[in-house]
Amino acid sequence: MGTEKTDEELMLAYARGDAFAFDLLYARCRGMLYRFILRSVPERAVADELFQDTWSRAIQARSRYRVEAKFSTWLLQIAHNLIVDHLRRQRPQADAEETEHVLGQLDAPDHERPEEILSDFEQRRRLQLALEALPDDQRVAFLLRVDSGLGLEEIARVTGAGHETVKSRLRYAFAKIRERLAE
Amino acid sequence: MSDIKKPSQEDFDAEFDAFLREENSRMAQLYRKLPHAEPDAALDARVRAQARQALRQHSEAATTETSPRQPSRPRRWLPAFGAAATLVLVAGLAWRLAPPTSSPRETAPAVQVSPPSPAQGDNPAATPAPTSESMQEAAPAQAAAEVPARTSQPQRELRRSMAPQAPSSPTADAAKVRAKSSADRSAGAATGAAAPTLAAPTDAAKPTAFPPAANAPMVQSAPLPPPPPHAAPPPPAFAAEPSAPVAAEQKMMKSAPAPAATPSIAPPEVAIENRAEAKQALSDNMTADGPPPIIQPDSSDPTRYRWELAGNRLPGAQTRSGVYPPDAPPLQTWVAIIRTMLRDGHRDAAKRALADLRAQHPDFRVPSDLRSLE
Repeated sequence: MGTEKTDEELMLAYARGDAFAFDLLYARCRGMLYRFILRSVPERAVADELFQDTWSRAIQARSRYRVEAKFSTWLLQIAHNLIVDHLRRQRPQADAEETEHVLGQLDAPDHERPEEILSDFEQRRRLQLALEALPDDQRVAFLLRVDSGLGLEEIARVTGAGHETVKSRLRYAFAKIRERLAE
Repeated sequence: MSDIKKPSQEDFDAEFDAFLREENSRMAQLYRKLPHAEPDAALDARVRAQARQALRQHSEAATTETSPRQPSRPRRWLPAFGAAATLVLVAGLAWRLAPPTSSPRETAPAVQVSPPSPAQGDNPAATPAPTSESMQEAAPAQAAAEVPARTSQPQRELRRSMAPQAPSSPTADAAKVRAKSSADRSAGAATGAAAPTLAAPTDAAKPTAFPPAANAPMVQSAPLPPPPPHAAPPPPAFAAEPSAPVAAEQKMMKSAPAPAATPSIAPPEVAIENRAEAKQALSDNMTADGPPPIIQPDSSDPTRYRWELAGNRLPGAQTRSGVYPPDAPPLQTWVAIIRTMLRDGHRDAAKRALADLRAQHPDFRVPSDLRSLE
């Protein structure tokens, strides 16, 4: 394991012409990237398209790749930009007030049935619905933290937002999901 | 409500801090229970193929970048090739458009046009207009035959002076040089072998024995009899006189008519005709001056005629005489003898005499009254 190359080294090797390095890198990052995209856009076909576009951008930019951050961060940043562009074309960005309204509507039934013990399947379903109901920036921040394991600084790099902004988005996202699950 | 919210706010902050710090928080555990969708195999294949395609395109682009001058290689030799082709074209055009100069092709017909007479077939020594090859071949024999020439010395001088007219081309001149050296080599042998060669009763011993004198310049170094005091000087070396044949003839025949003076720009046929006319005029002049020749049948044979020229017909010779055949007289006397033969009824002898004359004078224009003998 000690001799296993990092994602960054594999990307550099691929930039020098090593196709096998790309295969290894792709195997490592494909699931994380695909889930991140699929959580961000509801349609699978769109997710597939964005997934391929993300890798295409990474392939085209291989010669410009510099090890300034984790490769996954760089890759998610590309995917995030594509997702944002796609969402902007599809629907307007939901503001915080609208998000609160959606979360309020989701929380209402749970508050109406506090005695209900949700099954594990129901919790996963609620989590799924809660994620879909999150504003894009909050959902991206949450996914980058939960699925990709990125810290605040890395999420800030991927999303291009400030550290405190990312923390605030995560806080809002965490609160909405927690309430949806706990109530 | 506020009491209820506060503990819950504290719990929230603790859970949120754990969410930020820990990888395996409660929220994360719940998230991992969600179905983890992955790209299908087709999507994976497309992405990998795209990655390899990008590498191939890069390698091809690098190949073309590392050898950018290969396509221009043909362009480098193209100007040189074009220049060479242009030079060849210009040289060819210049060669084609250049004014014609005297070349062997132009002067050779003047020698070859002369039709050989039937008598020449059985008389090799009577080759009329020696070509370079014939000159080269005949030079030793001519050198040997000239020594005992039965014609008089003035006749030999005359023939010698007229000889250079036929071979005049550069190749002929070169052949002359070769023939001259050959004649020089054979001169010594000819000196000793001349007597037996000429003693043989060949056709050369007949009145046509002096044709070799036509090639006298070829054998200048051969042991010739000393020329008479007033004989014409020997012609200059051919190498020093590369002029046209007519010019040489004009130089030798000072009394030649005007038409023969400028044949250099005339076609070869015209030049030949003019040259023949010049020779004819020369012969006429040489025989017209002075008293007519005395021609009498020889007492020993009625078909033989004794001829005699008196006066100043030829320079350096007060009186010439002989019996024909075999003594070849001057041209006009020869014609007079043939006419006398016809008048006396010796038609066969006249035919032979005319054939002899044609052999010795290939350019001779047969008079109309003698053409029936041809």
